[in-house]
Amino acid sequence: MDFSVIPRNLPYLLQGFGLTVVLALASMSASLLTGTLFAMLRLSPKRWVRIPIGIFIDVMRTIPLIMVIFWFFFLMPIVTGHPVTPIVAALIALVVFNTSYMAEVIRAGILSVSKTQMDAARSSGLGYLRAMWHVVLPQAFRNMLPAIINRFIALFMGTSLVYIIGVTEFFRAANNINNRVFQSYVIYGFVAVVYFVCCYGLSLIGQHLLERLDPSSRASTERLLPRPSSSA
Amino acid sequence: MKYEFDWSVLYTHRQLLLDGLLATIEVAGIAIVLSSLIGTAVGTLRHFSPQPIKSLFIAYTEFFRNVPPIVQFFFWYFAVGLGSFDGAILGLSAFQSAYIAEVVRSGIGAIPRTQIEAARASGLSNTQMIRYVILPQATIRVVPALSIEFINVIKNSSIAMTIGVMELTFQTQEIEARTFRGFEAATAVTVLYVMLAFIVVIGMRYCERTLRIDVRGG
Repeated sequence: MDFSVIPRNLPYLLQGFGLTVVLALASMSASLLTGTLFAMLRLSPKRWVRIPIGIFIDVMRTIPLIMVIFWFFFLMPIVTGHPVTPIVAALIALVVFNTSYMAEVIRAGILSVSKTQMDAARSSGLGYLRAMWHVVLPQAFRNMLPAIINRFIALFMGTSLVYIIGVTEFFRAANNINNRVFQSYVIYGFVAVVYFVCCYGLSLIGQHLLERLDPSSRASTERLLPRPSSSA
Repeated sequence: MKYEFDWSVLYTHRQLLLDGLLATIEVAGIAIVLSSLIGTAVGTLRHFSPQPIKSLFIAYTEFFRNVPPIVQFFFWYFAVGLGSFDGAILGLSAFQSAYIAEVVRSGIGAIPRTQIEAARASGLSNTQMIRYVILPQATIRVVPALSIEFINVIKNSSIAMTIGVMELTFQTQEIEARTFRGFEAATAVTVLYVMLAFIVVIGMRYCERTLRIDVRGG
């Protein structure tokens, strides 16, 4: 075992790691917005809005992330006629996939805020969207922060799958090095440790936030359940 | 859109799809059984163990659930040198068992303390208490969370294609490579995944109902 492959290839690995972080942060930020939109649509009183959105969310959550990545990388170009670069396909796939999960987290968050808050906001003259944005969502967001962190961990681990369409994120970078130097134990061990440190660190932050939350406001079941596994 | 659909490839390559479906069911099925067993053991033991042993179980859960499955698969396949099938089973079971352990632990934690006190007061040994009082009650509580985990096993089994297991996702690529009909193949495979998840949900609902009736009847 030659441990020196790690320091020797550190710049390359760091570059890959940087891309992993960027992919995770960018797709999380985007799916926070799309997730909020989908959550609101799923809570819509109109059945023709609520039902199709519900089907999309539930079906999306039963499809493996790899399939979603394939859909966007290999199949969208066929349908639209425009080729997409791997990194764009990866981002779109991660956002679409994560949107369905975030929509459920945010929906649980919105439902965890007492209905009277919305009533009070509406009766003080705010429109539905303003009441949502200024009154309900800020409170919901606070309740769902631990769940959002769990989704971020799943997303962070999920970025390793865009390896298959050739995006040189952390896992692919490590893999490329291994194909050259054949130090599988050292390299995959190192990759495992790095992912572990990041994801475990994040989960500690999530736990800390969970404990700090006011126990009296614990209405959302989402937070009381154990972290659902990273579905990929 | 200039693409002309040709759904007949699904029929001409039905053998590939069927093989893929069977491989997915096989890998996911074995991993569901293994990860449930390991997960239940780890989750239960973690709850009832004294301190130094407890941290061992905590380390197991935290390590295996915080390393992406693809990394675990590659480790078993390329570093340890297991076969692709064994590597996939091991990687999948280790990853998912950590999550199931957490589900089981929270299920046990939700059982009122009085149940444990009552079991002790009626003179049950530790194993008897776990076997007859704790696990039956915990099982009902964890069924909904477990069905999500089982669906995740099926979904994560798709990652096994990266180490060469010829399951559904792998066969999508195979059909694409042979016929350039990836779109049709991917649609069919996506539908199959949704159906598998649906079967798990129905099955677990049925389990839940049966368990509840069982408990009410005493």
